[in-house]
Amino acid sequence: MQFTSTEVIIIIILATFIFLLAPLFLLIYIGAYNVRKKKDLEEKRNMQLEFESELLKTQIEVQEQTMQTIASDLHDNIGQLLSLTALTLSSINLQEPQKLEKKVSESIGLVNSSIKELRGLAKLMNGELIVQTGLGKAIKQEIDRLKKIGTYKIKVKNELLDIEISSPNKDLIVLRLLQEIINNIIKHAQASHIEIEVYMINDLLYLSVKDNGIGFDYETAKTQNKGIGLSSIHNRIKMIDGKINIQSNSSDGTLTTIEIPYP
Amino acid sequence: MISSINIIIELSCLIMAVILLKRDSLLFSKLTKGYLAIVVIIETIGFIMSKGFHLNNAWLYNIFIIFEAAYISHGLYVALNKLTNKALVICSIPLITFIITYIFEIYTHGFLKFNSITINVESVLFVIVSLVYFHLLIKHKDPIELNTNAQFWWVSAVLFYYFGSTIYNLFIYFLYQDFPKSYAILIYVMLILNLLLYSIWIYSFICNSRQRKLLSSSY
Repeated sequence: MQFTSTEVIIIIILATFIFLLAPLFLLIYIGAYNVRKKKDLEEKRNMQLEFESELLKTQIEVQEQTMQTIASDLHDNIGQLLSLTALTLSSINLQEPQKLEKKVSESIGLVNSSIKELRGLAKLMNGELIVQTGLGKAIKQEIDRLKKIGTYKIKVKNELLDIEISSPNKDLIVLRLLQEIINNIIKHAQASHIEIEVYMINDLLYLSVKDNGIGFDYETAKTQNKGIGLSSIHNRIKMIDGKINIQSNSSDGTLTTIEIPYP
Repeated sequence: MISSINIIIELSCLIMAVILLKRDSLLFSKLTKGYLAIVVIIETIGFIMSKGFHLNNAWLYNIFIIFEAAYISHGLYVALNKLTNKALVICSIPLITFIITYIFEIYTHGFLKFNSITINVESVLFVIVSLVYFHLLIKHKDPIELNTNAQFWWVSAVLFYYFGSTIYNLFIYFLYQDFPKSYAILIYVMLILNLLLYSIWIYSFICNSRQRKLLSSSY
């Protein structure tokens, strides 16, 4: 096959064009890939910021919860004990020495009870300190708070008391999740019985809370913001790559199960 | 005429390099200015020898390709060194190959005939090393700032020039012998390639200058 000079020129022009087009496409691809890389990095940074801000929010909420517990304990327990002490002491009549010893010893007993309550309160301190002692102990304290209310029959299985591993950020979030679930039970469930289980299987932490309350329509609550903090719970679970399952009906109450990769 | 345009393009690139890389103390920037000066001098002497005195200037270009291979290999090494610790190994391959093919060609046909095999093999190797650079760049976790990344544009110019010159290298002897009338098209192809190479290099010098300004303003 013979080519004419014009055909050869056309072939060369076309071939050169193609050979220049190939690097051009490569550069366009690299440029586009670079833009995507930048976008991904930006998203990652934003997610990190979001995580940090959510963590801070959680920390504040845990602190608020602690302050509320302290306030109600001061008012309901220590305040009452000290009022009773003051009443007992003021009722002492020096003219009746036979009752004096009894009333003083009663007052000493009341003051000792107040001191014990105060020590209990001091232990609460703030959220971070609670978590520093370990998630198991923090959960125990939260359950103790619930027990103090006295309204509920509580069954507990806490297998985290003796574990060595910890993850401060996740611990804080798990603690806050438990607080939110307990608060929802107190505020809305009208329950009399609560079962709390927390345990680990391999690298997964499980937290389940079951009550025998009136339940709620989970699907409706999810779409409408009903003030039970569902979106916040879901958001926090998602942040730590966890899973949540809520089963609720009016006859059996509510069962909330949370699964989190841990530590 | 076309040869003189080529010299003007090369001279423009040299002037831009001198202006834009004036305050750059990096070895590569100094080598760039030196190399571009050699390019202009060799092209001018080659042009005068060929057009003015009708003398064979192949030996001159045989000397020039030594500088070309050394400079491009060093430039690719500088670019790759930021992405991999095997840059020296990768960039020594084209250089060693160059030495072997160069000696072989001089041994087989002497110094007065142009070492075309050497430059063809070298072009292919430079294209491969450039592709390795882009591959590593894609794999690198951090994105690059294209407006200030001088190395990226320098390597892009190398890729355009050596990949584009494949056609020139493939057709030059075939056209010279069988289609002497069509031979001129290759001169235009070379002109376009030179224009691409030196204009992208000028852009890389601009990026270098921007980068330096950014660095000095951040201190």
